[in-house]
Amino acid sequence: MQSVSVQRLCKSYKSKFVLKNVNLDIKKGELVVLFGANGCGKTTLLNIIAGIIQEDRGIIKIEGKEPNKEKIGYVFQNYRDSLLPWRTNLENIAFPLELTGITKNRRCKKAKVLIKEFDLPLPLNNYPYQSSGGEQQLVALLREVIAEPSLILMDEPFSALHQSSKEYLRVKLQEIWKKLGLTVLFVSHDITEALQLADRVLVMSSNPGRIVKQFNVNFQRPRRSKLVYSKQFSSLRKKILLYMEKDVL
Amino acid sequence: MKSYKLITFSLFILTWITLVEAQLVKPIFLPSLIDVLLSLKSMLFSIEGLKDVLFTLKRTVIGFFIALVIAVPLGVSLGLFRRLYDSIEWFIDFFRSVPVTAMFPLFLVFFGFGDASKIAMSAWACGFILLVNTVHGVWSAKKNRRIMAQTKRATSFQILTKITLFETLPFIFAGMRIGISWNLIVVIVAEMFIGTSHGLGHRIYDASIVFDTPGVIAGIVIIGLIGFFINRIILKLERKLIHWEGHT
Repeated sequence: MQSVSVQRLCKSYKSKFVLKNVNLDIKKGELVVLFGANGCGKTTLLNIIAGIIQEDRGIIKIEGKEPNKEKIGYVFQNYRDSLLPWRTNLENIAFPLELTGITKNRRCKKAKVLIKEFDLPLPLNNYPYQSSGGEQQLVALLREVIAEPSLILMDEPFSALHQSSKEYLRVKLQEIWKKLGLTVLFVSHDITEALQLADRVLVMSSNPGRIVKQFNVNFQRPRRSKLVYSKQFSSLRKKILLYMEKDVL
Repeated sequence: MKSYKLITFSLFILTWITLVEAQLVKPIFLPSLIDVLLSLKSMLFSIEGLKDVLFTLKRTVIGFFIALVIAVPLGVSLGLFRRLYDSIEWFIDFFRSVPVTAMFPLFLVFFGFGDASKIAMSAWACGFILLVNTVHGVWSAKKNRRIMAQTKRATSFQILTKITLFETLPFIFAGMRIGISWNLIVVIVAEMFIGTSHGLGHRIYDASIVFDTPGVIAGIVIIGLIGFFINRIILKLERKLIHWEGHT
């Protein structure tokens, strides 16, 4: 069943196309990585799907509805600018539930159950600025997950983190995604990350941005960092990079 | 008091005593520390002196709260509705550039010679600072936080009360600290020149007419202490309420 459907999407700024005829389908429970060079329009595409930017042309449906009718999660690269520093980590995670009018006790309980379920060592009563970068991004991720959105958009969420935090969060994301059956559209310009996470990698071209190729990724899960050293991984990685070099860049 | 603060304070007092004892400065310009302390004592331990302090404090605080109650909601509204701000920007920039002291006569016409005109002037001076700071606070709110709430279908009211107002707080507090100093300045000047039966400005003015320099300096010390402690209170409140500032 299709969860996200984007057809012939166009967006231009000052009569220059940023996105042209973008077509994209994501199945329910699928983790798709959008891979492309910086400035190719990946974030614009996410913002349009999120209903934040208005498209010029095209059709976008999430669970068959308009984007602004559905609950969508959005994890940003800059977690510091998206978390609410005046709230504790627990209050940040429970924030979406507060918006829907759920009582404080119930939303805190739900947040704690979620954290326990995935065995996450988070300092719940600390404020985000008292937590590490990895912990903050995990809080941001859980905040998006807790409201059970139809789709989670992730815009290079781990790129500002240390290598060890990146590794940890990639594994945790797979665990959370799999267990909760989330539909995720993940933007990355790191091919290793893309292959470690994706069911499918969609390659995006620049000027104008459009999806030019898709690669299925069938490695067994959970995919840990050692997967990177396998022959199949290197081979697929090489194939995508060669394609990028030849046909995209 | 930390040691380096104690050292600079001691040096200041020592310089004062040396200048006076060596008779390098005439007492009419710089009286002895003892004379100033005696003036301070007579001011703080007399009913009239205390009344002066309390009247100045009352006018400053009331003016400040009036400014706060009007300027902050107005600033938030103007920050949210950019077109509205653009349409009255000329008014704000014009009137905040005019020293409120130049508008004494107008305030007297509208509010009379009593407390009302002094309070209104101080609220006017402080209000523009708070207004501009609040508007810029709203504009400086992080885009990602708003987007995050929008994707969760938060209402505009929820975004305002749960995000924008918190993001604006550091700017409001900065405005409060600058504004309260202006409040005090305007109240003192108004007390000196509009005329009043009580107030530190009035006391300093009277002391200056009879060349009572210790009295003038004692008044200045009290004003300085009022400003200092009000600022400290706001700073303490700021650190408690906006604990995240400087960490993000």
